[in-house]
Amino acid sequence: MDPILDVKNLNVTFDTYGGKVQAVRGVNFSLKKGETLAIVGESGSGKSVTTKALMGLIKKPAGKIPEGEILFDGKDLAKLDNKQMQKIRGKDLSMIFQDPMTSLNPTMKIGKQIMEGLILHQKLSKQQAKERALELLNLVGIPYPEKRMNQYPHQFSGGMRQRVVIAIALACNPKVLIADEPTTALDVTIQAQIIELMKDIQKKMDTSIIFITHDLGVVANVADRVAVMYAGKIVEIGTVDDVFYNPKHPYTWGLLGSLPTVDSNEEKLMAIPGTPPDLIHPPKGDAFAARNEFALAIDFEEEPPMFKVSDTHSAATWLLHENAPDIEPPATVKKRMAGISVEGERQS
Amino acid sequence: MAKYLIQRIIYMIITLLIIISATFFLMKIMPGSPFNNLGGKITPEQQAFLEEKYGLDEPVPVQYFNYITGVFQGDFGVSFQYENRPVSQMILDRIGPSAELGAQALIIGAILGIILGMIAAIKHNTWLDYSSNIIAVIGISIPSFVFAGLLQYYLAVKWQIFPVSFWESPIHTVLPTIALMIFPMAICARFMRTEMLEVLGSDYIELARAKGVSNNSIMFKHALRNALIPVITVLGPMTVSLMTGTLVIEQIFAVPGIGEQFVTSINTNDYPVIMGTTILFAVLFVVVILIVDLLYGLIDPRIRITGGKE
Amino acid sequence: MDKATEKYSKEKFQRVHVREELSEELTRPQLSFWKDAWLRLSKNKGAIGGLIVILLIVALALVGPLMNDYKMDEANYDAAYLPPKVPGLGWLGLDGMQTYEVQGTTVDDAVQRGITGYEIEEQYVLNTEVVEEPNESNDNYYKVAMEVDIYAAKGLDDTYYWFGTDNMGRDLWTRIWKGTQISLLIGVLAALIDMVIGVLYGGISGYYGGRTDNIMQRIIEVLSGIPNLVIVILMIMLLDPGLTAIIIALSITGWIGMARIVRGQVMKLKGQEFVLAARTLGANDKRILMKHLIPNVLSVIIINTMFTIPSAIFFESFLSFIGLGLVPPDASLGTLIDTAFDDYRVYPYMLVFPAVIISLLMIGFNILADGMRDALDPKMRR
Repeated sequence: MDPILDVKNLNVTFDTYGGKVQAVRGVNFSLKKGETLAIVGESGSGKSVTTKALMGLIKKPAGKIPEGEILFDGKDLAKLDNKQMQKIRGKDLSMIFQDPMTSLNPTMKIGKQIMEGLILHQKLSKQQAKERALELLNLVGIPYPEKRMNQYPHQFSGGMRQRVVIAIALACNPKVLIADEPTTALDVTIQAQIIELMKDIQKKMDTSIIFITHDLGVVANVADRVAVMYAGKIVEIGTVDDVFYNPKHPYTWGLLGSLPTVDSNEEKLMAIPGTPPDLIHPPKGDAFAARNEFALAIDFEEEPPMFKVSDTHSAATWLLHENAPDIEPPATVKKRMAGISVEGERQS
Repeated sequence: MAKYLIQRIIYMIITLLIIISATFFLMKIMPGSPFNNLGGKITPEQQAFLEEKYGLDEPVPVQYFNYITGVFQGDFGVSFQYENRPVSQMILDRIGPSAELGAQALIIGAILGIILGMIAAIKHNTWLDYSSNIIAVIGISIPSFVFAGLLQYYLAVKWQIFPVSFWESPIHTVLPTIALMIFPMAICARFMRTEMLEVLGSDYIELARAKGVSNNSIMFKHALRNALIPVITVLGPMTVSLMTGTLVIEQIFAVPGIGEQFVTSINTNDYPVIMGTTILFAVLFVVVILIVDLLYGLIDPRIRITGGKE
Repeated sequence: MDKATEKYSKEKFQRVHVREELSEELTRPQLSFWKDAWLRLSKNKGAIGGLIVILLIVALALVGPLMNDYKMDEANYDAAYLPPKVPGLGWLGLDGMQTYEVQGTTVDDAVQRGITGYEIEEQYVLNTEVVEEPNESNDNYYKVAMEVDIYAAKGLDDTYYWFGTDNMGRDLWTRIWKGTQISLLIGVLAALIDMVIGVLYGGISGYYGGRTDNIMQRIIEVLSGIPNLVIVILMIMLLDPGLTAIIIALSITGWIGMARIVRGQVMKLKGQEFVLAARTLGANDKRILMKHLIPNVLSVIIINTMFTIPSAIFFESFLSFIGLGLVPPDASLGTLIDTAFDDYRVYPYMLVFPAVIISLLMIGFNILADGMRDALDPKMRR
């Protein structure tokens, strides 16, 4: 099946005080219909910037897409101007933001905020838009929708607000839904509810979802495929099983090692030492080398290409080169991998 | 809301009582007699007569009581300089031009300031932004009487486009209005710019963009309202600057308003007029601050609701 | 063997031990807060321009009065109302020429009236120019601009008053720079007093919190309901007019803004770990306040103080303008502008110099304060 969205060699830069930040440096991935792709990485790894680029929300003139293609519906979104993107945003592509407390307009009624996109893209009358908005509020599980329509965001709790944001995003039946850490700002119990809601909606509407998170626990629960980003690049991509049970990139090992599990009380959490590199002057070679305890000499000289592990799985690390020594993931990571399977089953 | 309002009004009354009392006692211990300026020497008999006439021979607490009860009935006493003229009448006679001048300056200044600030924010980091910033800094920095002097010298004396002074026709109000509005305009522009920039950088504007809302709709439907609400708070400082401004601007342009009268009364030690005008200014200020708070609550849905819950 | 395999030789796939210093290199060099702020400020052209203007004016205010032999209160009625004259700067208009506007039924009549009216000998009238022909609105008079070499007319050919003289023949150069000194002094002193009171009040209120804070805040609430214009005017009238009176009057309510800001900052910082840590280590209240909180609120204090200076300078000139300022022969920029207003239509130079200096000073302080706020605001710091 043809992918619905195909991103090729995407580069995003920002001009800042200190110089040009290369926030995204050649990202490739594709998304199929009805599929959920999770993008994981530390803050500053470029995952949010990547999705902003998909939405055409990179702030010009500081931000630019100097290279790359975003193929969607036969068009290259990277080449469209703002006017053309307006017709696609909210209709075919829509987005859920991280912090529901700040992402709703505080002085506009909830109903109006949901109806706005409907009137804009589907040319519905006010009455039709209202009916559809009520439907949507029902769909996302907000009780008393008629009454809630006429309320302002501050009258909603955080979880309820995120439901409203999801309703706004779903209003026009988008083909691709981008969720930028939709649960990070919420309480744990609410997080689970929102995740369930998204899974439920995806089943009903067959939407493709790009799910950005730094929480691997969530990934195991929602995603079909996972892309791990580091310093503006995808370093490993594969199905959930590939990445969780057969991780190849030392950075992925690090991420898995730092993941707490239900029964991890006896061992320490592993932390990845150091901080992500400065993307104004990206280091030579593999950007992760300096923090990598399994670094090879070549990591400091040349960037690793994507090595194919299987049809669905590839990773950018020299450890996969035929000349590389055999290195096994650390024992804690292996244990952790086992832990995830237990937890994953318990949740589903 | 009702509880909040009552609390605010109680504060207001306390503040006003303190001001009135302070004004009264300061006037009492002020050096010099109010009759010093009455054209040369007066005999002790005349002085005693005058003091009796104005109630100055009573014990101070009695005078104080009389004054306070008077003030609450709108009676500010009688001028020492213009015989038998009630201060309240003098203020009423003079308040027209001041009110007109102040209202004109406030409204035009606020509107221009909001437009200027909006343009600056929308065209952030372009020459439009820079020039509007320069205008704002100049407006905030140059004292109104210096500005008034320059306007008068060039536009009236030298090029004779506008009348030099007096208050006779709408054209006479142009220069004083410009001179008076420049500061309110500048603070309004700065505040609006900051607010607008903050709103434009907020998550909900990004969400509106993600919905596919056009730039114009984002500006006017989403951003403007949210940026305008906090601008109401500069009404307080604007009122103060208008009061300060009227004192000097009315003098310079010979506007027959309360500001000009106030300055005259200061220079002639006409205590009742000083006290009356001071209290008027204080009331005006306190009321504006209250209105700002209430308005804020009315316009901002967040505050309206939290106020109601209390 | 082709190049590609050569490139990926086995040696290159040796494990290397990641050196500590290498990871260190990755982290951005940490600038100290003040260094960072200074860097930011020095990149702000406006702020640096403002700083230079202020420094120039301060230097002139200190040195200016020493640059000639006139004293600031040395009256010389023979030299009253002389326009500015600087040797070598005649082309700038600083040539000591005075233009009078005179009216008469004919041009000659107008000039004659001017000559008698201003008591000048005819030979010193260098130039006449008709400004307005007779018409309805000017009662059929000729309006003539008459240029007079007034220095020569008064027999002061070799005298130079760089900024001219006032109505009493006092040298305006000396008076203006002395006046600038006073204005600056008032601004700085008022700002310092506001700072001390505001920091103490706000610090105590925010630090102790609870009941103390509650009472102190109620007092502020009542005080801030009083327009400071009213307080300042009343205080000035109560005290003997002069420098002290102005500074006291400005300080009576001036500290409220500072107190509020400091209180807010202290309350915010009080709950943070480093203060708790100091407390568990047994530091007493005073020590925590002085050693930990004050340095942390320093930037808001500096910003606020920088804004207080121009507003104090403005208020002083405003008070002088409405007749509540300094008493002659003392001068400040405000009193100089006030005096100049009486005659500025004929002698505009009297107004122009102090007006320009006070405007530059105010703009300089405001821009610098803006720049410092941007540089010091922790929210901007990344």
